[in-house]
Amino acid sequence: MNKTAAITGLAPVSAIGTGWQEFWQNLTAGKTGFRRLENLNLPKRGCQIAAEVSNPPRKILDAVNPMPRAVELALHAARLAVEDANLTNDIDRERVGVVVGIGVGNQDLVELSLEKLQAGERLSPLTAFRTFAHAAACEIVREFDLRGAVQTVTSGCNSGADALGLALDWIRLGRCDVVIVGGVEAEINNSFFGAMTAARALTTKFNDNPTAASRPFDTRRDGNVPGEGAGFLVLESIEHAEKRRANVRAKLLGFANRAAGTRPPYDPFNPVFDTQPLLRTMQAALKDAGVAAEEISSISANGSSSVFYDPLEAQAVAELLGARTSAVPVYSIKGALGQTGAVTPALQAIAAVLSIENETLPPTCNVEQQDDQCPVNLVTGAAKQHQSNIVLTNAIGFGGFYYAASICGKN
Amino acid sequence: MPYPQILQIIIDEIHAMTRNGGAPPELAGKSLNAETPITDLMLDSLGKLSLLSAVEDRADVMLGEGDIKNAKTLGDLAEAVAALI
Repeated sequence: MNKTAAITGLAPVSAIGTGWQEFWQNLTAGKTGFRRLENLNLPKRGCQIAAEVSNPPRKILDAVNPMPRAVELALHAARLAVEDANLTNDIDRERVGVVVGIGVGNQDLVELSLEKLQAGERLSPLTAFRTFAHAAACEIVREFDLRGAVQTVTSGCNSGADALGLALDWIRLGRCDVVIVGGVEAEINNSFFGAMTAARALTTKFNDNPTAASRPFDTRRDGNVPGEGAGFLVLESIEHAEKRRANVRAKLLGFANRAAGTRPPYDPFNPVFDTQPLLRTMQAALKDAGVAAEEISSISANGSSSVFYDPLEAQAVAELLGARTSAVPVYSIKGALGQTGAVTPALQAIAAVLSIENETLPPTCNVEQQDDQCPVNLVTGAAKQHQSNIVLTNAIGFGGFYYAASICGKN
Repeated sequence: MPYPQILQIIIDEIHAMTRNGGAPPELAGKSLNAETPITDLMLDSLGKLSLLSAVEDRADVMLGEGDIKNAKTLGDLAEAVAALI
């Protein structure tokens, strides 16, 4: 069994660009994608900003044929990924799978449906199909007339990472030759902002300065910036990619996710600070990939601008790297894109591939003074020339209950 | 809103929670002041979050993830709220 999968297609749909060329150009230029939101009933003292995608633009939900924002974003990204991988019509559709990671689902359509029900109006028959979390995966299957395995993974912010792990397993087990895999999230709605504000997970102090709001590992960080987007990749078995002479851009070498075990309830005054679950996850991913920690060239951090989880991650990374901590560059794309739920790990994977191809690491935006509780070699200010052969990518699930890590390698 | 007023709001809300079952009844007769450790309130996780929400509503502030990370006493909490006003 070949343990690796070829990565042959990349398709980010993000607040800093749609398509990998625009995405990479803006990511490495240090551009951020945040803006102040309008026309939403947001908690008055809470977060008022988000990373919103402009291409494709947001549309008013059609009452008869409602297409939730997440489905729209996922479809757009899947089309771009298929195009980028140059998957042609002669492919064996029984051997092409689809895995979609999505965290909060199609809340926009749920909200619209509630409004209509409360107004005594009839719902579209399509509402049932389109509100469930599996809708994006099903619409991708329909779009490309695919007949292989199809699955939706929902594990909060880690959904995109776990989707990649599942797709890798399908390739390894021979269940598919090709998997269109990605993460999608559409969080810009009243219910999401209301719930996350109550959980105190979002930034509150940068409403008047949105571009500076997401500041991973910086002393002035004050919480996550939400958003929307999609990121899709095409994974293939090495044999299949070679047979059709595909452009193998990099390889997915390994993956692991781990639960943290029994945890005390969240205490806002005294949250549990335990680096071990993430450390175990990173070590498991390295083992799965057959790679030693000494071989890591760069790290794409979860780094979500969280007051609590940024130092936890940095200290876990330092434990993993030991004496090499100062030698291995670490960056977070969330300074540019925020904590966009399920999509971020997929975008991290895309950025990891592009960093390998371009021998460049993107800067972590908005780091003015690195927190001394975050002892990692952070890429800040400007993009850094750096040859990466092995990239470790981290994802931390909401509440610290679960973790994921993946390993990408040079082709 | 001055610090003493914020501290009184916090104490009032804790007493209100004891009356409506949101906090242990033993707190009802307990004297609370700025030096009272938050751990002495014997509030569970939900109780602490409920207290914060009530104080936010009364003081018209939003406590972010990092605003209360160093708060050990009711006085610390009052100072954190005061810093946001």
